[in-house]
Amino acid sequence: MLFNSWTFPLFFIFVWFLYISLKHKYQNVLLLIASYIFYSWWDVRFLSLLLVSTAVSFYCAKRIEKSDINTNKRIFLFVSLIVNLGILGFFKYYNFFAISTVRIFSTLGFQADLPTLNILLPIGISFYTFQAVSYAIDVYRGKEKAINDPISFAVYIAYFPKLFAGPIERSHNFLPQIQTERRLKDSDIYEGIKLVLMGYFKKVFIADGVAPIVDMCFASPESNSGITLIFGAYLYAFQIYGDFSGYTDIARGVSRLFGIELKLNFMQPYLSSNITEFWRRWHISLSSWLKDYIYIPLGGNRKGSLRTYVNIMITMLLGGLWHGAGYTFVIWGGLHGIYLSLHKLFLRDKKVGFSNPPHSPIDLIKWLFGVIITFNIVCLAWIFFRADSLSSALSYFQNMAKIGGSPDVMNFDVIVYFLFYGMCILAIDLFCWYRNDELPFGESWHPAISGFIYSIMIVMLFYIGENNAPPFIYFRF
Amino acid sequence: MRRHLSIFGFKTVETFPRPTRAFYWSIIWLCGLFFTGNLLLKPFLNLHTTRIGNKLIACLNNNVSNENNKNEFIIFLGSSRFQSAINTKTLTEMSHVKNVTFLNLSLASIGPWEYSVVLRNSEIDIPRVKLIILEISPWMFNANALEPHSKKRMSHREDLHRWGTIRERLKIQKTTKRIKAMTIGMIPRNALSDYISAFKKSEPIFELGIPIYHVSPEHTKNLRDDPVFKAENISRDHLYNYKFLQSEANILLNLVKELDKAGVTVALVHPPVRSEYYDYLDTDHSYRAEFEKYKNFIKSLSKKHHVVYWEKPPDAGMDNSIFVDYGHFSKEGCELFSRRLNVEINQAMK
Repeated sequence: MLFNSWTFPLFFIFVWFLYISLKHKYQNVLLLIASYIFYSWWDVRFLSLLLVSTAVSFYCAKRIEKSDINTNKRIFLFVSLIVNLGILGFFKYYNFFAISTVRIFSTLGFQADLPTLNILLPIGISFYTFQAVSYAIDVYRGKEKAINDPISFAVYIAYFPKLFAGPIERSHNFLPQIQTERRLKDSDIYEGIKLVLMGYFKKVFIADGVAPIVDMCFASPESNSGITLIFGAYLYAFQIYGDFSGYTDIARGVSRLFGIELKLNFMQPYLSSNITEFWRRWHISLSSWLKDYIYIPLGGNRKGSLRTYVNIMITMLLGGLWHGAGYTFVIWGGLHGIYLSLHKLFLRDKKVGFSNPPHSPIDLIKWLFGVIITFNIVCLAWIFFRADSLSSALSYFQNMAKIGGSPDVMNFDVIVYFLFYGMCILAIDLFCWYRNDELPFGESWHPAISGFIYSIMIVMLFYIGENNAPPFIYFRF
Repeated sequence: MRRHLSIFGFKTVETFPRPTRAFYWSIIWLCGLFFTGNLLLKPFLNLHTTRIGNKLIACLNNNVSNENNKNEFIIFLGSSRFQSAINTKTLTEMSHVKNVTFLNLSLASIGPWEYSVVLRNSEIDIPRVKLIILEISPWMFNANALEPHSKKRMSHREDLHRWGTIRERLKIQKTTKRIKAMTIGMIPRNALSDYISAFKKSEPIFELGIPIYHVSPEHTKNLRDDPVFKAENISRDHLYNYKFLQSEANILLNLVKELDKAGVTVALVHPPVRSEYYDYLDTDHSYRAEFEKYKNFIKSLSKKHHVVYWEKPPDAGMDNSIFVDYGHFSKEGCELFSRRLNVEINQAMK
């Protein structure tokens, strides 16, 4: 059941009306049942993994809290980590490591014969596993109290709006909301609906709209001119942003209609003036998770410059690997690690915050320059992220460099696509960035104008688009 | 003492949202935009972004509106076989009829419904049409016909959402499809690239004279080399579980009736195919029985109209060398067939 299928709205409307008519303690039960139905709609077999992860994490956290002896605490923490990361490792990475090991051995002159298995990757496994791991670690560190209510915990793990593609929620943000009685005002309902509309606009209109051109560019780079491939890379940046942030907006909007506030996951990332700021605006829930559970435990920036850069590289390489079991993802992560390290080297001790709206022409030029550079280096890395294999990525770069190659008819269309969809994203993000809000248009706008803009978005959704929609990109992770 | 064990609370929503001014404005804007879009944009988009609009209706309108062309028209409507079979240049040279423009408005996989769409949406003034020749083929009237490459069931009305009248939409059997056709199906949805080419207003691709099949050697080679188009293979797809589709027959009957009323002479032609094309019908006697319904329908049409049913090449005085595959014509075959057809055209117009 995808968010952009016809079954989801019917499912959600039914669940929502039932939800608002129930008492609080039954609402969580309803959310849990709805979440398990939502997950089972995809494949009921993998519901067992979700249940195992939930049960083991819940039990281990309780035992960690109850234990007075540190050794026992560690044992239960390791059990929780081994089970959760073991499930993730097996289903996501077994084949990758098996093939890589065989390759390494054969390079060294040895013969290794590890069998590869026909394993289906369970949807959402990367997301709910990281949530379970963060909970266990927080309880171990004493930052979080182990929850006694299994229903609330199960909802935390399986909550359907965020189950398939995040955001990766922390227990201290989510659990208190689940355990307290929720009230909905009319503003919550309006904001929720607006967020859902924004999400569908980003996913259905922007991401799905550019997908065919992107697929064409990456499927056969040698058949396209260099200019087409350059703009193809830009369009992929739009696609992945529209897809992922659109999904998150729908998830947050739907959640708002239940009275639950999910973490903000994107804050106009392509308006970042440097790479460090980019990672504070892009997939915020993942980047903060990597910082809290990998970068800081490794030492962060507290053990000297060289160690800092090593820690950054390890964190980003693992972050790349989290996205997929493939060398292209590792290279993508590695590239961002290099970018971040170089930026840190350049910064020295300067702090990086969010860039404010420029006040003077010089600030504006500096800011624009930073945004353009950051966007281009991010797009460069996206090529590895999107390519099917390392050789495809290298072929893309090779053909992209042939700017003077034979022009093709696609040049004009690709440029129009870039300008049109780029303007749409820029319009939304600029207003959000300027207002420092997740929605571009607020109550201060004249109702005729804000009404017109939302209507135009709906009309464009209907009039412009592809009829065969690709699935959400982040479902693969 | 009664205990309330109800699980219902109805306390979650503190205040139900009342429509705000922005909401009312949104409704007004939405109604206005959809109405304007369908009134102004839809006809334009239908013409320039759909297959039959862009290639057939636009071409017919171009010819009709051409001030230099005061001729009457002889129009061919058919599928890719008609596309490959007719050389309008040859017909123009050979025809006894003067001041007539031959127009071959044929396109792959179109049938009676598409013929009616082309004629009712074009700007042609019916009195200028001297003769209409419609292709009839067994697959057009088979409810279970399959697309040869995708093996999916042929829709028989591919662009119904774009060209269908309200009546046609209401007649859709499946309820969900009918609701979809009456609601979002009324809105013409296109990719941005379609809008770009529509607003570029490129000339519709249309060949007057020698069909593209014979101008482009690669086109012919693809047909010849593709195993899907071998007679015994395509027989299985076109005649799959043959079931005579009365609704398609009714569309053709209504179209012919309307043309008769307007005073247009109608002829119906089945270009020959290789004899192996009919082999599939012998795999089950029920297919033959249903196929006989189709043959009887053609016979009923022949009572009032000029029907030329050439089942196999010898029926038209030719042999299999006229084909590149099961039934698409080669360049030489097209020339031969056009000359043969010319005789029938002259007869139909007597």
